Amino acid sequence: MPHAGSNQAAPAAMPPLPEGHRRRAVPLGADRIGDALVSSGHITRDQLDWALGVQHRTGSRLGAILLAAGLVSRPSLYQTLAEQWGVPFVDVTKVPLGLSTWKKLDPVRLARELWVPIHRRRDGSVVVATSQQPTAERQAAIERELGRPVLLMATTDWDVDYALRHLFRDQLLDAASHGLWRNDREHSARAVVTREQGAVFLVCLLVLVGGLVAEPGPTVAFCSAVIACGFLVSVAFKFAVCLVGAYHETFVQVTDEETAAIEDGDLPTYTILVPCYREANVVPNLMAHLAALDYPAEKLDVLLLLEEDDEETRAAAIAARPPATVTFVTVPRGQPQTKPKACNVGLVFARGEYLVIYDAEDKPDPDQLRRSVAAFRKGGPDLVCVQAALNYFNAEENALTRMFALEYSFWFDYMLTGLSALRLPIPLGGTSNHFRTDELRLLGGWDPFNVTEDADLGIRAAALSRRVGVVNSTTFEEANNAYRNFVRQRSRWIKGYLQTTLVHLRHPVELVRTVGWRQAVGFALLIAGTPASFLAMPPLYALLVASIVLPPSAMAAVFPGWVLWMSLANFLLGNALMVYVSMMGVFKRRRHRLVLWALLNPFYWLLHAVAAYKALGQLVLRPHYWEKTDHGLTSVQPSAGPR
Amino acid sequence: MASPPYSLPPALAERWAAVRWPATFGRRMLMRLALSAPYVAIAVWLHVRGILTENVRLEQFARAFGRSGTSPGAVTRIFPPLAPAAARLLPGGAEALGIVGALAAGCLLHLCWERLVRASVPRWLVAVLLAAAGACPVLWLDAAGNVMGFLAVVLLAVAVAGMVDFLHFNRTTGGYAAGLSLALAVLCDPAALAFAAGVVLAVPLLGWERVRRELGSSLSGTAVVLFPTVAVLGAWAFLEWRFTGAVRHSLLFAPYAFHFRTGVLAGLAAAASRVGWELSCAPVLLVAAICLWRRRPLVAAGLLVVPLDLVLATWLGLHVPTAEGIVLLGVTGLMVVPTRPDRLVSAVLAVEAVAGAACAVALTGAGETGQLLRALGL
Repeated sequence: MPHAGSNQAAPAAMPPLPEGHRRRAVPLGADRIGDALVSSGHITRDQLDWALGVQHRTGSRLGAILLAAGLVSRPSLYQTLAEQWGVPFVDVTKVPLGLSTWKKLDPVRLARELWVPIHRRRDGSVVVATSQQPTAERQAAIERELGRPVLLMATTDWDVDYALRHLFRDQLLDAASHGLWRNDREHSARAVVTREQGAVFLVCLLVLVGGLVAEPGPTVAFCSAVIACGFLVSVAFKFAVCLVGAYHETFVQVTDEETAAIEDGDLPTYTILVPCYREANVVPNLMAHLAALDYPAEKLDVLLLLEEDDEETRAAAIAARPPATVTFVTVPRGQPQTKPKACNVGLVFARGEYLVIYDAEDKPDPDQLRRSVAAFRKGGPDLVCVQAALNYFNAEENALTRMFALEYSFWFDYMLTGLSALRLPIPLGGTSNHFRTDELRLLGGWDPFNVTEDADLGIRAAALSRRVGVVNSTTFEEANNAYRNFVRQRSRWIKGYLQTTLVHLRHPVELVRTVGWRQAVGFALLIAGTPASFLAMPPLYALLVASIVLPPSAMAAVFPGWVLWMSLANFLLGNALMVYVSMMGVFKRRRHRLVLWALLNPFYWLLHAVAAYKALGQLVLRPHYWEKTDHGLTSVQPSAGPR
Repeated sequence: MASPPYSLPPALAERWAAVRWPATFGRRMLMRLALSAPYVAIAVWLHVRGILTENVRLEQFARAFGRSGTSPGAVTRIFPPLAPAAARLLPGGAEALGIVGALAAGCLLHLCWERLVRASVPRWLVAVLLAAAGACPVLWLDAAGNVMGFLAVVLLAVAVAGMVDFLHFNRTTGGYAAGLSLALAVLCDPAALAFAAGVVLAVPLLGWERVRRELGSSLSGTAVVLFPTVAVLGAWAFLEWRFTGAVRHSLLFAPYAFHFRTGVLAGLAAAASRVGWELSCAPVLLVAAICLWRRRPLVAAGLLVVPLDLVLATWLGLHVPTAEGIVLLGVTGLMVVPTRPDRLVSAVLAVEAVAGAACAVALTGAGETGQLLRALGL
């Protein structure tokens, strides 16, 4: 394996792709580098012929093809290139780095242009390492940027990234953690509640307490009516959206024919971000699932985002002997230590035209990347993100995983389809969201202070008049099979929804003005309505139990008859609606054995209620705390296919 | 490349089944309104002539109920609640109820028309079939004069269409339509419960190809279609029990239900005979079933579940007026007309449709429909 030794020290990436490379079938000089590699004994003539054949089909650079196929090591390739370019080669990992003078440079730009200043010479000139061909124009541009003469040296793209992460560690950390806060404070969840929101909550609380003290009976009855109506409205909204989603089921976002029509040569570089934290046990599966993707290997830019303190996962990743297309990106330690912060670091080094996030245990449909490319091309320039459906490979492991599968089936197959059809804001799922990379940067990346950064990003995109759609492809994940783990995971999600609600309702009038009434109401019903309906479950259950246990006269003392009737009817109807959409979701997925499990949905929602109250408490006490979900607990092998 | 077994189906086998006609929502609504216009006129005419229709009785019941108080316990006395609720809430009394029925008739005819277009039936045959159905006094008098029963018939027709979509063409939208329509039909007319029972038989028959291919799809399909009905009835029964202490109206809904006064077997024979006569007024359904029998006998048998449901409802004493039975069988026939019928089949369908309409006039001439016609001076 060409990179195995160096991956520990210096992360890897695909060789750089110059502008316009997709339009050029055979890049200039390709034959010469091939011949040079043959002459130096790095590859054989047969291997070169094979690589040239691939190049003819895909239009990729020869070096990238050879690297992706593992036929040549990165240092060998770039040393050969350095000889051709007529510049010395430098191994950046072996020279001291520490040029504080250049901290004013923008590391994002350097990562994109693939150069980094590494050393100042006595004569005042600067040694710059680059993995791009050091032309005279390029040298002049860098000299203008630095204001000094430069000496260009060749290095590998891994080395450039490595140097950038070391030289700009603090800037990267700061940008990943506070970039959104600095650039677009109104959309950041760093401040949980604004002063105005706090005042509104306080007033509501005082009114409630006052009411309970002065007129407890009517106040309880009023609250009961409001909770029951709110519950039904929230559930009925979801049901209506699901109906629209079902109505659009015959509309296939991207057909098999459209997917197959894209030739390898027309495919762009695709970045895959895989944040991993304490997930050493699932890394081998991850490598197998990525290898199964039907996409030219040399056009993949896989960034494995590893936390600085997570030696165990790093060791497992090295042991898995990943291909040269996989880069290890070390995420600097610092608060908040969250997945979105890791993703923001990854975004700096992303070189793909498109970008997707997968969790370490994900198993995407093999053609998902191709299908997403087709979806973007079909969807027009305002389509900035497409979400693939998520489902579970261990759905029938136990009762909890079954309920998970029921929920995800309706959510991703009906709900998101319906939201997309109605052009309402789509809260993205945790993984398998595909972006136009440049647009993602313009949106400000992920909010590291929001614990459902994905949902927030989808809403932010809508708030900034961008469009999020869905794509008809599925990623199979591991369903949570442990109840405590489930409550932890859900409490984070629900807390994130609460955070997202608070962030985007800071200026409700402005929100309505920007996105319109329909989108604003849709957002409120979905993002605020979801945690609210979970929080409403315990009081409504209490009412149901009380109405069964207590004599009617006792209930009548507190609740006027119509309030009780309406509250119970709303509760029963709301639960029935949720049971029904859950049934339909798994029926569509042909998981017939799960259909009757939907009847347990009201109890599943009780679990959600537990998580919702935990989330509410955390929102007050630890708003940015990231409840880590354990993965790899299942005994079902993902490679065996969904069960 | 092989896709995982639980990935979404790549595309529907019969995509034409999902095509709407006319293509835009606005045009469809205009068409429904246009189709309902003659029935609206009839509803107004009935009102102007001051004829005592079911709608008038319903309005009187709703008014009396309103005067008796609206405690939660009282609400449970109005099962099935949809039509009384409409009568209470709609301004305009019986006339407004008649207009609601007329609008429903427009929707029903559009549903049939859309199905016929999708089935590539020749235009002249579409015209004959729809004219025979739409001009039949049984339909227009029921639509304009008996909103409670007619809405149940329309909802049952939508449920039948949904079942065919759901089970035969694998469209989950059809499952939603079937399940929700059936539940609403029960809330309009308890006789729809017999049709809910028929779902158990219809699912494996109509969806035979799926049942054979996918283990457990029969049970899950039945659950999907029946759940809304069970949920609605269960919730209503619970509320009734909670507020009155007994379950009288929702489960023991009709005064003559389950009373086999002429004996169980004799009652069954009488019910079968009556539905046989009704079926003679809707021969298009029989022609469709015969045409389908050669290629898909089980699916053809599934179509006959509708008359079987009618037999069951009549036998159990759930009140299904002859007019409603004829309308339901007639529109079911229109919705399952064979795709691209050849000349012979087209001719047979046209003749049968006209003959069926004539038969309906003759059969109902002596009953309530005849009285209404005479009252209108026709």
